[in-house]
Amino acid sequence: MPNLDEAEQQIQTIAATIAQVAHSSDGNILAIHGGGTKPALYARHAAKSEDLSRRAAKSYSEPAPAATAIDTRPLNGIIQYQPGEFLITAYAGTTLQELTNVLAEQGQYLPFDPPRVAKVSETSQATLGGAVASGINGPGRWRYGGIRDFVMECRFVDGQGKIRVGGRRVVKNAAGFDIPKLLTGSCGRFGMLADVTVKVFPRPVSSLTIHVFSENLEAAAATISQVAMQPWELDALEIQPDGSLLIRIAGEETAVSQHSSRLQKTLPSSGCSFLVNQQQDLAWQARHQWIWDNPEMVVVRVPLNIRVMLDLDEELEEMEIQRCYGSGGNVAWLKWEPQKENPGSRLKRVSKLLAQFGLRGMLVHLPASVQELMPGLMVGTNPENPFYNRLKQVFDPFHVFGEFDAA
Amino acid sequence: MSDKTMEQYDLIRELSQLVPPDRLLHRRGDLAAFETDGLTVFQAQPRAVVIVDSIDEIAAVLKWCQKHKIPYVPRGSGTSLSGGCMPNDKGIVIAMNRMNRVLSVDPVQRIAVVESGTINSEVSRAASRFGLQYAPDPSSQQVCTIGGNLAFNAGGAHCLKYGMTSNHVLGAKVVLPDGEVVELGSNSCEQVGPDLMGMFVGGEGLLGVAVEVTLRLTPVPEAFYTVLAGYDSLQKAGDAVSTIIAAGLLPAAMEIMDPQSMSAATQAVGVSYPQNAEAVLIVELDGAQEFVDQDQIRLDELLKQSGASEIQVAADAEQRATIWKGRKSVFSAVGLLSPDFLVQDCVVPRNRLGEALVNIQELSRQHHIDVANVFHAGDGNLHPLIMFDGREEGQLERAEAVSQDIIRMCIELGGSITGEHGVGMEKRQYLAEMYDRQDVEFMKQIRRIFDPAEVANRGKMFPEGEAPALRVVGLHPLEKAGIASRM
Repeated sequence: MPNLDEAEQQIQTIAATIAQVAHSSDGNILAIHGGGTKPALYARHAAKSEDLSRRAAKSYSEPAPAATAIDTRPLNGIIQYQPGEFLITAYAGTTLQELTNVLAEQGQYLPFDPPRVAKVSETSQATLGGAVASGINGPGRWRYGGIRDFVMECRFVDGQGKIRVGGRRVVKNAAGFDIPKLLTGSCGRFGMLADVTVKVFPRPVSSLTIHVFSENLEAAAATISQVAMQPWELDALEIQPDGSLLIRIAGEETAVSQHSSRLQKTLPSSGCSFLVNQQQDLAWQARHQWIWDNPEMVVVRVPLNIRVMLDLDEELEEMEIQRCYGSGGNVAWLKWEPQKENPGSRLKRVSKLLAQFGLRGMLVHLPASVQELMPGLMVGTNPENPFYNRLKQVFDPFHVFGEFDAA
Repeated sequence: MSDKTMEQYDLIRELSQLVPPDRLLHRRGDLAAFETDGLTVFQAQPRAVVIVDSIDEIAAVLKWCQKHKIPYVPRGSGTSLSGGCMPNDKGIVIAMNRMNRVLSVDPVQRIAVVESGTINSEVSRAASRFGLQYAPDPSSQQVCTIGGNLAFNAGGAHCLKYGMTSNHVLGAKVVLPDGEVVELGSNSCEQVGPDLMGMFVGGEGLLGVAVEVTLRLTPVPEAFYTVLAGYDSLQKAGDAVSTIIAAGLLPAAMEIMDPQSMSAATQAVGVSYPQNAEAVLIVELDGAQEFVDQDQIRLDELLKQSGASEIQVAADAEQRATIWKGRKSVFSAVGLLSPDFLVQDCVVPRNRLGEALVNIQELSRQHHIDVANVFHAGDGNLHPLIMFDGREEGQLERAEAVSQDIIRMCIELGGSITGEHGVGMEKRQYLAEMYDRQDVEFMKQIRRIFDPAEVANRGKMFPEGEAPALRVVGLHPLEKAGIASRM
């Protein structure tokens, strides 16, 4: 059993450290990390921490100077879980694996389907805080929404070392500013999450995946449009790197079977196959690995829509960028291996291309060779946003948590 | 001529430089329609109303307000039940009603782009030809605007499964309180970086005025299964809700009504309920036919075991509509039982619903004030209706006392002071009771960084500030006409 008192003491210690850095004049930056499974999110800040240096040796990341790492993993443990309330509260460093296990015992799950639940290595395992801070959802977000729709309350330490609470531990609340939403996806640039309350749902008892072959991306997009406008009860709708579709249906077993059969009749005659049991697990594991297990590759996540997707894809093809699309064409995953000579050139070209389309992407993985060339976390368009700037002034007035983009 | 008159003269003269004369209201008679909103116990006359027609006009008016420190409140249809769009008597109202166009509906991307003065139900109407809908369904959806929905993060009966307004807003063009125009969010369901759009929604107009909004559309469910079960106690109805949740079902809606609510609905719209029932529970499943069919079998079994005295199943769309008509009529129908009433909106953890209802009954007895109860049981969202006669001395004060005690009870039980109506003017003194004072001060810092003069919807959300006096004025005219109802 984790010692919750220890976690509370850790929060106080971290808050004191942040206050100290905020009021010192050495320009130090604090880089918050959990299990380090999405290393680009904090890599450029990671400097003095021994554990990050160890990870760097495994080619995950090259620490950059003048930043201090704050490890949230000592903030570990489930604080409150009442299945009847559809709510679970845990310290930010609690692993997603532990959360999903505890929820599964009560027949519940995290509907936003965060990636990297499984252990990456003995020292690297995704945490709740990292999932919320990164704002990255998995395929399951199609059905009920993303992390931002499920974070109800969070305790966090702001850029002056003050411990604050936003939101409330209830499934419905309209009082005050929605700070939990702001912190979702903020990658630790607005504060350090100490604990988080998320809404959970009943877990589907069975699932089935239909693999739909498509001649090209245009055909896949046409199928998505056709499917998405109809009242099908889909759990996930993803486009594979080869342009085929993975459509997951989940719920009560008989309903899943009947619903899938009916859906299949409306799908293109190009052919589709039903994946169940191990076959199904393998298909989703392979997709997860395609995105996440790329130690030598640059990986970028780009929100978009299905119309832009088709135009962008042509350009990406020409640039020989590998890609797949998720959430019915609402997100693109791009990846490539940097060339040995001039390793940053393609990253700059991709960034320019995204900017041309008015898109902004986030680096979720950067091999060491490219890090110094790309010190920011974002690529693509970067419009000045006064709304962001002003909030940053309140949450982190001394910029102790760094920025998204390089100056 | 007094200074006050001069100031007013200057104010009108300057505003007339910003909007044409036919869209600037300042005569007493013209202003009367803007004196109150859905929380009719408050009234204040604004100094002027500007009916804006473009983003440039809004930006110019906001810049002017900031420069001259004139408070303003943006207003759609004025249905806020928390006094959220009550005018400030030192300021102006910015009426958004002319900006009511559905700019586009894209069935491929499943989004609609609308101006913020668009009526909620108009979005679903425009999307219906594609089999799509805009899911958030506040009871006033026939009249309330998307801008108001955004400002107060409006809910509805189907929040448990589908979420609130915030879950369906992808992006917006927003004018900040100093007149600067920014774009938040995008037209994608996904995002990178902090959720600025999510932060804006529910900001009660303090962080700016949304002008163009990108909304997520969802397919109209294929099948519904709507059941109304009668119980001999509220406790049993509440227990049934817990049982349904524990069984792993996720209904679209779960609503409970007490005998007074049933009586009001029967009188208003002629709906009949199980005889001698002390509570009715409405459960609605929706989704694809096969899933609804399977869940229906489990739900029927659970309801049978829950000790229901009678179970009515909606056999067709008409019967389903009747069940919902009864449920949605309750708030305005209570006007038939009592000349005046206060409507509460607060949240308790679901497992403390029974305790909360017993406490409310006790408060009702103590203060000799009748309270009808109707609530979104699935998410612990209570709507006690506190009935009184404002013509009788002391009744308003007693009703207010009951209302306060209910809010404080919800805070003590670990709930929220508002589930879907917002803090507005009504609950601002409780914000610092629900949140730590330092957290409220932090929210004020956020407000001031956008609006140093605190002119944007001044007097709302935060405890101190100017407020008009409490007065009894009865039902909102729209409620009397049966157009709007409260939920």
